[in-house]
Amino acid sequence: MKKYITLTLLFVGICSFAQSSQNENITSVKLTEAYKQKAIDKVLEFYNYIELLTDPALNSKMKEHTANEALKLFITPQTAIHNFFNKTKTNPSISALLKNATHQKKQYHFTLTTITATPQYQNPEQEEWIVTYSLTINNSKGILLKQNFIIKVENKKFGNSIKKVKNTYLGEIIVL
Amino acid sequence: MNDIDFLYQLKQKILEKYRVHYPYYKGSIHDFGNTEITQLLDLVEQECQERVSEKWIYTHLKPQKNEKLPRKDMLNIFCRWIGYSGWDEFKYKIDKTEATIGNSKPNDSDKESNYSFKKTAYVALGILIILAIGISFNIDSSYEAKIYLNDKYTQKSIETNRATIFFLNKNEKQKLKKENNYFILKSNKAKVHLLVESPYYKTDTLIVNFEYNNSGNYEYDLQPDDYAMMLRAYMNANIDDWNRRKRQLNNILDDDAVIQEVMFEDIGVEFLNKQEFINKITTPTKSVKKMEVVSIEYKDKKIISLKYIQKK
Repeated sequence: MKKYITLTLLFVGICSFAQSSQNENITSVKLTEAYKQKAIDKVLEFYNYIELLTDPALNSKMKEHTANEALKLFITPQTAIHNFFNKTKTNPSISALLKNATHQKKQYHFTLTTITATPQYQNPEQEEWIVTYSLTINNSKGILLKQNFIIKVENKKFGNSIKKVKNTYLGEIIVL
Repeated sequence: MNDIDFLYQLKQKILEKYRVHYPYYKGSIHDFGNTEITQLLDLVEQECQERVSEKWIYTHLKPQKNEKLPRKDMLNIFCRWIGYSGWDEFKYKIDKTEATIGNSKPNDSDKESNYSFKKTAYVALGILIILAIGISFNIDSSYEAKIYLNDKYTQKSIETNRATIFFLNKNEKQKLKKENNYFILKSNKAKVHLLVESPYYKTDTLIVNFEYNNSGNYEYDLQPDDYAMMLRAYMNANIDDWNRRKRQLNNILDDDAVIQEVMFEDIGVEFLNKQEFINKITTPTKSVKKMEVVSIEYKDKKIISLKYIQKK
């Protein structure tokens, strides 16, 4: 009798463990899917900022505001970026590139195709992803680029309270 | 049972019917992600010829707790989808089922109250027949209603000169007349589709169903269109308008506000504080254009929590 009770309990235990493990898997899949979309959205947002910044009609105050917002997308102001405005020069930092964008005499238009985001590695405090895409600048031939996307657990201030949240940032852009 | 309890019952019934189509779904309605929401909306559209917004599902069906009852015309759609004529019939039938479960063994006093109930019902029916005959002699097929618009962020009434409401009739659009702080809708049809357009608010479609609400007053919340406002300010280099909107947002949002971009099953993928949010939505990017607010919580008439999704 004892043997049967033990076996039944063991079976129930295994089933509930399998169920909870399955639920965790579903959550994890959804989480990955959500951040994959976020990575793509963030890259698109960056190019949209550059389009706004290169608009010669925009006044200096609005350009300054837009450049600050674009800079906040990146992990550091020193992040190296592919030089969209001059292919021959070395890769500038994001802050230098944004400054350059504000001085453009014609507006730039970007089209991104075949965009994919893939997780690379993670630890409890940080995750790194790679986003690859083909970039077309003003209808020119597309270039294949690779960009980092970082998810970082940080303390953030919301008025008087501080909460631990996951912040997302863009990293360097290199030509493949 | 109060109205919110009925809403919880409705959610359960919606889930049951959803599972008839998708039996492999094992989660609850609160766990609905993008896929499940899209499937549900498609099912409702196919069967009821009504399109409910994704935002509505996020605001009213997904939360575990509901503070207030959604608009009755929207509840009617889901009640029809699960096989009732509308919200009223659903409540009546559920109430009756509960009462039957609670009183499965009638005693003498129940019998007496049943008799008295039947008597009252006959009298009420008689009055209704007399009223119906009276009305049929004096029938007026037109319906009339006052439409009030509110700002979704401030919950304040929107002045009628800041929006236009069109009555949609086949391929025609007719403007509704404005009076004081409301619009006047006159129609011969019991169900009317309206289109709201405004330079300051996102375009929205409203459904007025006189069969389910003939109180004469309808209220709708409109979401401010920050993208359009900021784009205009940017294009016209209008620093005054731009700064004015920043000040307005500063007054609307609580200093401790937490703003979240959510995806799928309420997964927060971006957390912004008050200043970050103001800076973000006062820059006319495409991501701001695609922002759709799915829930707002207030504290002392200021926004303390706001969740939004990026419409695809």
